[in-house]
Amino acid sequence: MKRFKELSIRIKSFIDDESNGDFNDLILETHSFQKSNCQLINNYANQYCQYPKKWQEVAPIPTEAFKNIEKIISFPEEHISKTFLTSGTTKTTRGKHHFMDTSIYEKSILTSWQNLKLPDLPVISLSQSPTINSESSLIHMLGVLEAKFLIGSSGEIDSMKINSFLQNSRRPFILAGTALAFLHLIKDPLGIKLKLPQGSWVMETGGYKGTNTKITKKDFYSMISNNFHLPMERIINEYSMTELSSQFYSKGVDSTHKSPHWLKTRIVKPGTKIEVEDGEKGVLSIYDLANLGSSISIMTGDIAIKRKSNFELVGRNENLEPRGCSRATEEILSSHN
Amino acid sequence: MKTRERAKALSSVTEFSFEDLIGLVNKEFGNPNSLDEFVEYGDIFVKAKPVSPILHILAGNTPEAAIQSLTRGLLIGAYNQVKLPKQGIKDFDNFIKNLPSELISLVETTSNRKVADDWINSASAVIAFGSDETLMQIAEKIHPLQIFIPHNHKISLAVIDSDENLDAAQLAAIDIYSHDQRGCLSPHDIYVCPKIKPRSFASRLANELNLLNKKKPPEKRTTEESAAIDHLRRSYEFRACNDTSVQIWKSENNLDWTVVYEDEIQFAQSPLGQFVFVKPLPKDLTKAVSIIGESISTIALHPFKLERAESLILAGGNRVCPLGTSQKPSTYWHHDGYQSLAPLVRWVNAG
Repeated sequence: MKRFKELSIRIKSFIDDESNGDFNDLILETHSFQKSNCQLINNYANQYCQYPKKWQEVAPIPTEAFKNIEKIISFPEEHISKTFLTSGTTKTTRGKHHFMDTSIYEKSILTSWQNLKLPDLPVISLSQSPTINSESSLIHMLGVLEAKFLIGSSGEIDSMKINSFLQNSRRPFILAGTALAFLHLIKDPLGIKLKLPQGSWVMETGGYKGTNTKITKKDFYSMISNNFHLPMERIINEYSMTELSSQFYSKGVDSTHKSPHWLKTRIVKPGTKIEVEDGEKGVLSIYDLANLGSSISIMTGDIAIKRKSNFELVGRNENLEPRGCSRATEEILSSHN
Repeated sequence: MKTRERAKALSSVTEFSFEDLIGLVNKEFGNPNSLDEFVEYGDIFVKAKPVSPILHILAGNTPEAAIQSLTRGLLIGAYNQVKLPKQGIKDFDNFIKNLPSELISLVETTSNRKVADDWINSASAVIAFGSDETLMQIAEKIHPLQIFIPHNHKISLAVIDSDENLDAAQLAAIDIYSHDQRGCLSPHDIYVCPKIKPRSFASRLANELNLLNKKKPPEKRTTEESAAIDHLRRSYEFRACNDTSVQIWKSENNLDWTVVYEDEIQFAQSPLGQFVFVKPLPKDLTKAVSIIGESISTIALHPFKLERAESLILAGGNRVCPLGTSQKPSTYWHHDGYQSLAPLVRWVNAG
């Protein structure tokens, strides 16, 4: 516990200011700590990266590992204070990300927002509140951003109510929600079709692949743009997952996803540890220092194109079991249709 | 061209023999000359007239099925329009190139969706391969007087009851390796009788796949296909490190082939690309595969026995075949339970 707290302080300090530490050293130290405190990570690391000398050599844990009965935690189980669940159905096993405390997670959310110069505006969320749904990491994140939540305990998107709320808003804001929530709202005959106040933004997240919805990002952004009368450059995509504690953001259709300095990626050729060349497609692995309590390295299974130190998300791998935050909302919506 | 001439021409460019093609006409129409002349039918005479044109909407992952579909259309003498996927189908393209001119004149191909949409309107019969979603979209465009034969995605498995000659691993490897496991006919899971030690069988299967892939590695896969294999492989690598009920064998430094043994009997879906699960054969196979019951196509069986086929088919599917022949269905088989030629003709009556 003492070591956990020490690392926690150093990581928070590094999140505050990059000059307070070294990403490589912190990853290697945290990985070593996680190996010592999580048998699952230890067994995997001993097989696939016994003595990593740099952060890129740490073998990323597949997201499926979070579905294990044994927990991916680097602290005593009795100290679990918060658990986020991946989306899923009754037929699928849901992954679990456990936290001893969420202070690094929350610092990561707020500092990313500042460092990446995301709009300093109130957030209006097309989701339930953290009080109603405490299992969703996305909803928790929006709660940290002090969002106002427009969906109640029934889970129903009340288009009339939302319409009325938004029409009465005079000041600019960020309208946030999963891609599927936006699609549902736009396609609803009673849904919103209004001009958001000048200077407003839309933040969509979660993806819609693996569902019955097939639409390109460009077409989707065009729908949002037309529906809310705002330029596509004012649409933000937030990319993250339950298994992470930090987020990536892109603005507009063609821009790459950017990350804060405590979050790095490697896009590797499937079946190898070799990073692809700039401009090439590969599978996305993520190194997130804010994941102190679980695993700092995650293999997502998602496909991305390497763009220097950033990436362009091609999409969630359709061949995998459908997952992602959008699914949970879709299920909520489906169950009320 | 008469039926026999078409059958002869087709047998020269496919793996179907002349005898089997004529035999198929005979089985389905009751007389090998039914397409060429009036034949006796009770107290009248009848002649089979091909519906034409037939539109074949093909999927890129099933070259064998694509060739069979067009072969059937040509065998009955129909005019055939073929919608190919954008990237084409290599084996199918080669088949078309080798057709004699008399048959080539009965084939028109496109990969243009708009052209295919026009063809749907004018087709007498539409045979389509694809996902449920794709087939639903096509079905919406079909009118009541058209014949529609949909082939959606199916899943196959294998059952090994015994292995007296120690050839089951070699035969199973053929089923996995052929066409890089693409299509609906290759097993995702192999259920092995516990008496013959499923884990040892998995190891032998891995050896056989290794040998086959060393001789000829699989052709290039898409990033999406490789990413799916990579992700599932990593998931099972992680599990194998932490769970003795799981073991993995794999090609090194590439994704050519993967064998996963697990004690868990519940059916697991493979991303294909020579990724196969080996599991102990449970007493109640139907329950273990119930999650895919309605999607089962083929059950490869070793050793093949008709009595055993009777019981296995209760688990689902419409084909039980000898292990090693999953990807090579007989000329006479009923794809997805449909007759091959009979739905593609109308009968003319005389007398």
